Amino acid sequence: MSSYVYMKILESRPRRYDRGIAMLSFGQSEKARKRLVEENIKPGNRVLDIGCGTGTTAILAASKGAEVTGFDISAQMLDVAREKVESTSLGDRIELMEMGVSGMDRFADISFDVVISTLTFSELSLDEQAYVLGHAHRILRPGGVLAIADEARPKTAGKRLLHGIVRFPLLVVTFAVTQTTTHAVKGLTELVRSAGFHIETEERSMLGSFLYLVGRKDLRK
Amino acid sequence: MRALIGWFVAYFARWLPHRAPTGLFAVGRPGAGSPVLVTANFTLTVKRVLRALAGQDVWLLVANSEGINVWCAACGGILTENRIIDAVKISKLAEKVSHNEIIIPQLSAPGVDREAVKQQTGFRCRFGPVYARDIPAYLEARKKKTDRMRRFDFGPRHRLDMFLPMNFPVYLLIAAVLALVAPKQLAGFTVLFWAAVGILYLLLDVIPGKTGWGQAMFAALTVVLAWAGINWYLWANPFAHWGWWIATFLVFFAAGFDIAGILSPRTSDAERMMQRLGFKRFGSLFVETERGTVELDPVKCCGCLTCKDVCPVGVFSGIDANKKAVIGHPEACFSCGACVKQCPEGALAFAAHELGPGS
Repeated sequence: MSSYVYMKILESRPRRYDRGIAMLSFGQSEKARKRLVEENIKPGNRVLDIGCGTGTTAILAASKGAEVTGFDISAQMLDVAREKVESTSLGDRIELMEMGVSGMDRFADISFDVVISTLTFSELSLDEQAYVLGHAHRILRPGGVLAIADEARPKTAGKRLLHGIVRFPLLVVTFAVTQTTTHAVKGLTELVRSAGFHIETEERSMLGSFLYLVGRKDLRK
Repeated sequence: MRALIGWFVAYFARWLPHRAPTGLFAVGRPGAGSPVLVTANFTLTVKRVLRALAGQDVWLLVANSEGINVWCAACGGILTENRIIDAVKISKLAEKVSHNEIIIPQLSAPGVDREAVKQQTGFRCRFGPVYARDIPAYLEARKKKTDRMRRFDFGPRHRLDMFLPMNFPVYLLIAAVLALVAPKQLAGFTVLFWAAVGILYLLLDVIPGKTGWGQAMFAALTVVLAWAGINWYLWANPFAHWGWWIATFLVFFAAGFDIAGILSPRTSDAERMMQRLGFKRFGSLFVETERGTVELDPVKCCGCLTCKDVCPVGVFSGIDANKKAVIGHPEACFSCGACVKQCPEGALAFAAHELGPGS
């Protein structure tokens, strides 16, 4: 069966994920991860990484002295993440869990200082995004920070068209080589706000296709 | 109009993922006791499931498979128990229904650990039929499946379904190149290409040859001989259009590149070729070696026949006098992994074996 080849390709996908994402985002993803960690995480912070994937951001955060819990839905992605963590000396500061976003209900209220997520919201559907944001708000301490870096849908039609033209060939090539695609998020800022966060930073890259979003939970609550 | 475009995209671009919204949807007027059917969020799949469910009162739970179809997503490690657990919990299914059973697609069997779903959500998973179109009959029969409902159908219906989506992109690609370098040949190519695809799709079962490539070449040879014959008869020169001979071979090769894989439960020729050439790995297009066919450990087997329930090609024939499953048709196995994943006793595994002809 045909799909057989396709299936096998999909099966081995996590090993090529890092490369695929770097290709798709013109290297923006790496810069975004570094900035996200640099600006939001302090030594000793308890950090939750939603959709930690191959562990790139979690390792950056742990090397800055944070205690990181990362979870991902894909066992294969986590295998790669574990290999990467083992090659560092940060093993005791990073906990990795295999579960979908609905597993967030196991974390206690007010149990994290920072919740981060890179290139995960674009993988989630709308109902999942709302669910995640609700729980992120619940588990953060008052004054805690939610920081998201993700691919976003450009705001104006002109930029969308331009972005589409630039991205489409890249999308095809990247999918052929690594079977990785992303799916730009729409209206995430509004969703974050309606989950109760106060938006502190919302920045977009040149074409408006990459979103960096920081929200804070109110101190009073 | 928008719906039409949506359908067009979903139908022709089926090589690429295409996402539908996820969550719990009411089909008709379901109540607390109505059945819950689960599917994946590949747009074409959701459209077909909804069409099949017209007139029923059921819940449809769409899980996030990143826009990939059920079978590929399950085999590729994307549609796993975690996706089902997320869908059940996020949709708050337990508040909508009074029972604890969900019906998941049979073709999700290679990826979903049913025990984990039960532990984390309380819902038991039961495997429904392979095809959405059989769901009404399946529900009518009080969720009893016939053997036909368990089988993936590689027959005319499947071929018709694959005909345009599989071949049109290939045609478009070659035609685009041809339009640039040799526009005069475009019409001839168009006729030749669709004739070749038509011949292969219609006659695949009767064209001699073990592999898809062999069959494509046999068909091409027949057509070339016919060319020569006609030319000889009309112009007394069999070589009058020899350029088209080469074109015929090339077109049949393009059209038949993966017919074995797409149209029949056989291994893809392209993939086997790579293995024969000794590639264990070729970039990222090709990584693993063949898994081998399934083997049963009779000591562990408890005779529950879950394997028979999930096998889409009828490898398991029933139960023997010692209440052990019987592998009646080992040759039919193409190692999708459904039975190995679902066997509650861990009695099934793939036997690694040397690659030989017909393996």
